[in-house]
Amino acid sequence: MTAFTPQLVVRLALIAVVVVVLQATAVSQIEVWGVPADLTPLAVASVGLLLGALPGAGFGFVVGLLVDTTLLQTLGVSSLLLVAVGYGAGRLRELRDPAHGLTPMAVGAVAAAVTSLGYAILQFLLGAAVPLSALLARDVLMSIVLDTLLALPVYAAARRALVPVLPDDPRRRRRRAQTTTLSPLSRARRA
Amino acid sequence: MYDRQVRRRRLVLALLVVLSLGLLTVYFGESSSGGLHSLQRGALGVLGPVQEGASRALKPFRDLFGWVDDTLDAKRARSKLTRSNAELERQVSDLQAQANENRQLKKLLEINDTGGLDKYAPVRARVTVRSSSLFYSKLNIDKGTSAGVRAGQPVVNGSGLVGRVSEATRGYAVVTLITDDEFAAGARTLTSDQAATVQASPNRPGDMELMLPRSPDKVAKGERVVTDGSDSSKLRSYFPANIPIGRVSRIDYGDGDLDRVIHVKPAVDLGSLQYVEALTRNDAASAVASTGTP
Repeated sequence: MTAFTPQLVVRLALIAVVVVVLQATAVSQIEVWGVPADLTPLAVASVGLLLGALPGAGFGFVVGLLVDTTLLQTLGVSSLLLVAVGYGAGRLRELRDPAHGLTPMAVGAVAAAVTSLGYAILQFLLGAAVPLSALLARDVLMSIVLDTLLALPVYAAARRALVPVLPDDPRRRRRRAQTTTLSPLSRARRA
Repeated sequence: MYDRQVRRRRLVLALLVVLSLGLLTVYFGESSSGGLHSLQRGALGVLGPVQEGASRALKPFRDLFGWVDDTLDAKRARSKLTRSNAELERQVSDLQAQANENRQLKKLLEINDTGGLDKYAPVRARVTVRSSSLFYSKLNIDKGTSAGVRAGQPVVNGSGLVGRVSEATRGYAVVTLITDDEFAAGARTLTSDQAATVQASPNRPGDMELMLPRSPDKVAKGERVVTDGSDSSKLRSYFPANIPIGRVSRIDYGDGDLDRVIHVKPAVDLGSLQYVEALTRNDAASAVASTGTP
């Protein structure tokens, strides 16, 4: 369980503001393959992977609130989706603690897919006309692919920003576990 | 301890979800002047300057990506336009070639109908091989003896006399052009009515000369020259009368009449022949000289 220190909270708040401002002012205006990337689910998933389910969900809620506020969208929609993303990524870390280097990529892909499809479903539930077309499907797919490619750099940046204030970095924890766990032979010798 | 953590985690998650759904419901249900909307506008008022500053600061970054994107787009567009241009060029070439063929065939029809060449059983043929020599003195056509084409038959196109069939096989024939050294034909000037022989100019490839007219001094520049078409049973001409051969283009005056050289420019553009007709029946009927425009 991650302990919330004041430094960690400040850093998370800064990351949230930077990500939302960067997304709104720059990234959303750059199109690759006809679609812009979305950094917010990637950042939330990265925080979830690094800190766990509760910080991930909380961070997702705050980022969603900021996104909805800056874009004058229906409040709560992004929060709901990003809470799910942050919580899911955090639970993966808590249950499996995946060590593979490409884990953030897979998590980023799922996060992008959840966000894209979740937005469509929520808009539909709220009564907005959701144009169901092959072009939209292609755009959704392209944005997922793009986010997947960006997942590793975003995770690396988030990790770099949070490592100094992380109480227990997964890698450090693993290293500790490796050095302290003895093989049966060693244990027998020690005994 | 663990149960407490699980309970806490679930509680916080449920709280966040309920909060989100609550926000969503209230926001969706209230009017645009409602509390959440006002709060959102107020927050935007605070965040606006931050966004504006960030937007200005990040403009070079956006421009860089925009430039890369535009460059890639322009490159794609250039490739597409190059392909499109090549295709259009090909189409234009095809159309021009077809128009050219059409023009030649139309002229052939004209000379057949109004020039009376129908009486000579013309066999239309496509030029298949042209002499690669500079002066195009011989060419092959895709009709031979099976179509009634025989050696010695005159060959014309819409503008006038092209030459004479010199050899014929079953499917092909060789035509000796009027500018070939071996070619000669009885000719007549139309205005001065001078009978003469026309043959290739030895000094000017592609040109012809009018030889041995009775009164060379009467021949004037610009006169039309047509086939004479002798019907004599002893010396019958290969060519029907009055097929245009060309125009007198230049007269070189010498010391006497014998030194006078009368140059004739062929009526037919021998360099761009596509269709010709071999006149397979040599009757006494005469053609109308004014049909072609030498």
